[in-house]
Amino acid sequence: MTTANRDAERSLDEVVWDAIDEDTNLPDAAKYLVLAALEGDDALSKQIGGTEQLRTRPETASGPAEEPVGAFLTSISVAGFRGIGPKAVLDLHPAPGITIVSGRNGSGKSSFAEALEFAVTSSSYRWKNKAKLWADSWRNLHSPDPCEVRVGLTVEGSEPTVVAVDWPIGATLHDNEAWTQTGKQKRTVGTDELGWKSAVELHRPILSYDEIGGLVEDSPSTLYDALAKLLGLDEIADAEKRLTAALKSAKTARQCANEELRQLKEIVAESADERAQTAVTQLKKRTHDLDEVLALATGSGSAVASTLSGLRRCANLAVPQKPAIDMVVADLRVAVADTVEHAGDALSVVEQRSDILDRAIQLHSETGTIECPVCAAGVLDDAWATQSRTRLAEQNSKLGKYRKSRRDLDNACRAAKELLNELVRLETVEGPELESLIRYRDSVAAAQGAPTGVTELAEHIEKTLPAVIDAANAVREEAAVAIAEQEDTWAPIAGRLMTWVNLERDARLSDDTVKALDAAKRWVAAHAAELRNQRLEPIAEQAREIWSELRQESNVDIGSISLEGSNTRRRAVLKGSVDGVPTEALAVMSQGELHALALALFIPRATTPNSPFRFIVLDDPIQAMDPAKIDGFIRVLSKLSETRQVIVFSHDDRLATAIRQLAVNARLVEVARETGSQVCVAETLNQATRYVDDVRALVLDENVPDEVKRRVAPGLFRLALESAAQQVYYAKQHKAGESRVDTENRWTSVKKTRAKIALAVYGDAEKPLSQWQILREGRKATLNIANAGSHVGADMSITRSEVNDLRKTVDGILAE
Amino acid sequence: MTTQMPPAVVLRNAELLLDGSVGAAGSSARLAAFLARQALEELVAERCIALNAEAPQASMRSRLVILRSLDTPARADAAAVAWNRLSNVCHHHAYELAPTVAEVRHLCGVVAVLLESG
Repeated sequence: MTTANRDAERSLDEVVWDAIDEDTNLPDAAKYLVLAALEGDDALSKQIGGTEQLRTRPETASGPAEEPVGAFLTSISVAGFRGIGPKAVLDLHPAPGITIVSGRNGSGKSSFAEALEFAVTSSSYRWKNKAKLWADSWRNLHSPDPCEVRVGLTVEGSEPTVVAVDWPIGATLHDNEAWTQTGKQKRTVGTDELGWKSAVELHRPILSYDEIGGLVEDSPSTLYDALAKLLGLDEIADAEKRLTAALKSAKTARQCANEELRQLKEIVAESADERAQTAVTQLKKRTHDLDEVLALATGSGSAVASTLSGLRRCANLAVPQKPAIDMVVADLRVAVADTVEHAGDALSVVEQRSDILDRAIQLHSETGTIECPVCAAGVLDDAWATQSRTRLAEQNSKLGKYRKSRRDLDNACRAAKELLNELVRLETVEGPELESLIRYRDSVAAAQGAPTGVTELAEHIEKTLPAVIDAANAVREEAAVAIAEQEDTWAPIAGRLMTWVNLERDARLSDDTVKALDAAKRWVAAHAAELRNQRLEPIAEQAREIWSELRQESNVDIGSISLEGSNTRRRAVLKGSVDGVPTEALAVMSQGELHALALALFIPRATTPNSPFRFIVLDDPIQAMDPAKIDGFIRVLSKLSETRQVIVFSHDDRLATAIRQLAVNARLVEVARETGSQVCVAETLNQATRYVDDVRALVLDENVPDEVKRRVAPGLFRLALESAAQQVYYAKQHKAGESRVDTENRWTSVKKTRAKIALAVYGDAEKPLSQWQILREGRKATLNIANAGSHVGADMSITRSEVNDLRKTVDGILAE
Repeated sequence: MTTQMPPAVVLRNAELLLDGSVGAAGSSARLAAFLARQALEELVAERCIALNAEAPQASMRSRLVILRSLDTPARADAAAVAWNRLSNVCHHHAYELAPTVAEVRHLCGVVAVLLESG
């Protein structure tokens, strides 16, 4: 049992770590997601958000798993709850052994079971569901106050502990005050201090009839769910759900982007705008260049369309303005007039004459008075020189004026020509037709076809340029209108393009997450079945063992148990055979068999070595069993009771009757209910007193020879005394928080009856019993009989009085 | 009384009855239970003799106590369980159904524990 268990007892985390470590195909990011998803919603969202990246395997304790400290029940005290009115106490023996609590229907025994269950598992999910049915009837009608539950426990290595629930007057079921108190320490709220929360869910030490029955009788999914919960398998299912949800939300970015892209493609395909055509090409690409698309949308960069640039040129068309033209024309006219005035002189003759005169003056200044070299008639004297210099100065001034007017005219001409040449020639613009464009081009052509004559030029300019200005204005206006029109159709598309670019950017960020999540989800889905059945196998094996005891005459054999399917198709499949013919076991089983099967499935879980609960409580487990199964069931219980405190609530006395016949360590307690919900609890059988009763029956039988009585009595005396001593010793040890294993070892190491009693009374096997023996009459004689060997027999007749002494002695030990 | 017949044979007859190989249709289970109880009582008496605690007139309860004290727990348990159950089966009860064949067969098996190494 134990080796098979170990695997099932490994935490799910560990199993998953192993599986993940083995898998080399799964990317790290996905692995971390799987682990985070197992941990919970928070961990997963942090992992996705990137705030938590690496996960490291938690350290696991190596070596043999240690059993956790165990708890036994000492008492269940209930008041004002369910069928119990005034406070009633069910005392329990805090040690391994069977306690059968029997009582008629409605006697209040189930109220004890429910009170216990509520106190220990109130926070569990199942209880909340059950509470719905119960909402009105949980508080006792006869004596609703005080309303409280106290569960006494012994905990290994700790003082006795009380788990309690108090309900104030008028409070609802869940509106209670739950607390835990260890020894005399301060009370703490709830049961968290005990660290049982997950253990309660996992081990379920309290099993009731309807719960057990419901598991196999309802749909196969119920059994699946219950097994899944017990095996901690819903953690896997939860992780899968978390990953699915996370994947869905992570995918939305991509889906939004893709949907936007789809719509966008339609829009641009329908648009006549030239940029839309570019957009179509851009959007068709397998990998989109988002920057280019963005540039297209905003109209920046090289992507600007030629149509628009043409129109923009038209809109920004610049032509000379009237004042500038007027100035050029005026300058031209003045220059022309000046030139005409000075042109009357024969300019070149004047120049030549000036030149000769200039040289003659120079000659004269060098030679003095000299004969004229030109005419040879005159003389160049000083008077001539003075006169000539004056003349020359006059001529030079005239000449300078002329030259300036010529320059001015040239400049004015050039300015006028420039004016005309600078007129912008506009090419034909693609797209919308601009009516005024032709007029503009004609007017420019007319203006530029300038006459050669300078005088006509001014007139020409004055005549043609106003038409150019006029046409240019028209072109500008028309182009502006055309641009505005284009922008009106493009603006929404540009907006959509930008929206898409932003969505696509977000989607690209989440693409990796989606990929990792998808891988994680697939991995979990693929491994869930494997993990499930791997964890189920040890349980299935124990279940088969228990079933083999319980089945008795049943012809149904149980083979493999597996969990199959998921969601609405999930079900537990029990393969089996009927008289050797393979079949699905659940379908062919009777009600009673199903019930026994459910017990077989759920008892192993409650008694795994790592459970902190050393007790298992079964509420009415044998209702549907026939007598043969009860025998098997008792065998299962006896085996359990070697290490566990087994408490069985039973509404009929079949179990009690059967247990009376066996030498198992059993106690029978009867619960009876009187008027006003007064519940009484009485111990009707204790294993020790049962042996006393056996001796009494034997002694009273006159047909048994005295000699036989003497031989038989010592063995029964020993059994009675040792049973009482063991009960007392175990209870004392467990209440003191001593180790269960040590207690067992010490008990079994002590062989003699005397020493066992000393252990029970003094906690010390070595201590002499002389003091204890003389405390009450009859103890010494009783011990003597018990010590007589069974071969020889007692050295005295065993009569009624010896049996009475035994009874008193046993009671005395039990009262220790 | 069939006291002369060895208990093993009596028990075998009970099982044959349950198998349906000999007569008595209908109440074979109850008849077999009678036989099994006879075998059991005989076996318990034999055990008492073997344990050197012969008490021919003693009640069955006393004899079971003798076994409890002197014999192994397994035999004492088997004898006590089987006798209690068989006695119940051998009487008519207003509120309890007649025993099933399977049940009596199971009890025969319990009685057979006393045969082993007996």
